[in-house]
Amino acid sequence: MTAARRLATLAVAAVAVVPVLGACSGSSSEQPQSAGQQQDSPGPGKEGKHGPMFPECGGISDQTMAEQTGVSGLVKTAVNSVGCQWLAGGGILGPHFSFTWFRGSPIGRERKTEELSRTSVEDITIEGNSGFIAVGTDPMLGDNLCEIGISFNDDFIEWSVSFAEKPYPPACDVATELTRQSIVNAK
Amino acid sequence: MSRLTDALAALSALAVLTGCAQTVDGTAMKTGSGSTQRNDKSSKEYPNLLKECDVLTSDVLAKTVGADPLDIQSTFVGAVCRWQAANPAGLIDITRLWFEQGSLDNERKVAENLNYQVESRTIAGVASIVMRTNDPNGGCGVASDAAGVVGWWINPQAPGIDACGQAITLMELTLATNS
Repeated sequence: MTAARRLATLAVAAVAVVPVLGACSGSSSEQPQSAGQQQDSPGPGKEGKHGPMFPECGGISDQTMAEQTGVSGLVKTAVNSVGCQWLAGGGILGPHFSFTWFRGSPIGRERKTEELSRTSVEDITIEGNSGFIAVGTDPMLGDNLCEIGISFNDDFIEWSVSFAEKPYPPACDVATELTRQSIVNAK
Repeated sequence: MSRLTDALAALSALAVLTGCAQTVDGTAMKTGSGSTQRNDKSSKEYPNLLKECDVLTSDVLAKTVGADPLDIQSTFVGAVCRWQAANPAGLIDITRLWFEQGSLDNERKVAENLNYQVESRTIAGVASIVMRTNDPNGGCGVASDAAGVVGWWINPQAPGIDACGQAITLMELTLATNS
């Protein structure tokens, strides 16, 4: 899940922060637990069953990102085997868009993190694959954040879409379309 | 509703104790949905919930990539964590991964599928791979066979930075932390 929204919104740069919620570990008892959440994953040390191969950045081009988000000047950074992020001018101030591929990691933990911090988390199915869709709400911007996680056996992918200024297209429409295209690009 | 009240009270108490009142912003309790159930299993089920990015402090990360400790920012948290730090030569994106049900073999397979250069190597006595992307700024990652698989990536936004050296240093520090 994206972490920098608060600081980016407040335009407070150059502050070394504990990741959002980082101080709250241990507070997870008595928290809501979604029905349908995967709980049958193997324990640590046992390799999970992996899903399909995704191309770098989920196969999403810079041009597709510009078209889908309506944001110009995005620079693709952190391009590696676990994903990519697109940032305005490559820096942290401004919108954040990222693709992340988790290989042998419980989607339930990621969903739990979302449930602890987002406005809503619901089930979703895209291209026949199931997962969660989380909406985040900024007091000034409205529902500017949407994160979608989709599982493939014990792997999952996550698209994170976070806008930093109005006007912006519906964040979950953007996230859904990027997720759909990535799934189609998997082999 | 008493369970909700209890949960809210517990959450408030924890918020005070841990000083995290600001970070939850009152949105933590997603309630009112008929399908929502509460239990006490999540801390056992996910003992590392929200802790994955803290294995090395941001000060250590900044220092390793040649940035001022004030010039590093977390951008993504979870089983994959991302930071961006400002080295005088250019911005550097740092990625950490920890897949407890993953494997070094699978990471190698993925890196080869992405046409990265992959080299076997031992880091702090642990079987590892070093991966080089084909981008001109020399992105470099390492993955090690520990607790599933652990990895670090350094992606500079400018040329001339020793990304592999920095990634290996972060892995050495990580494996030292685990022992």
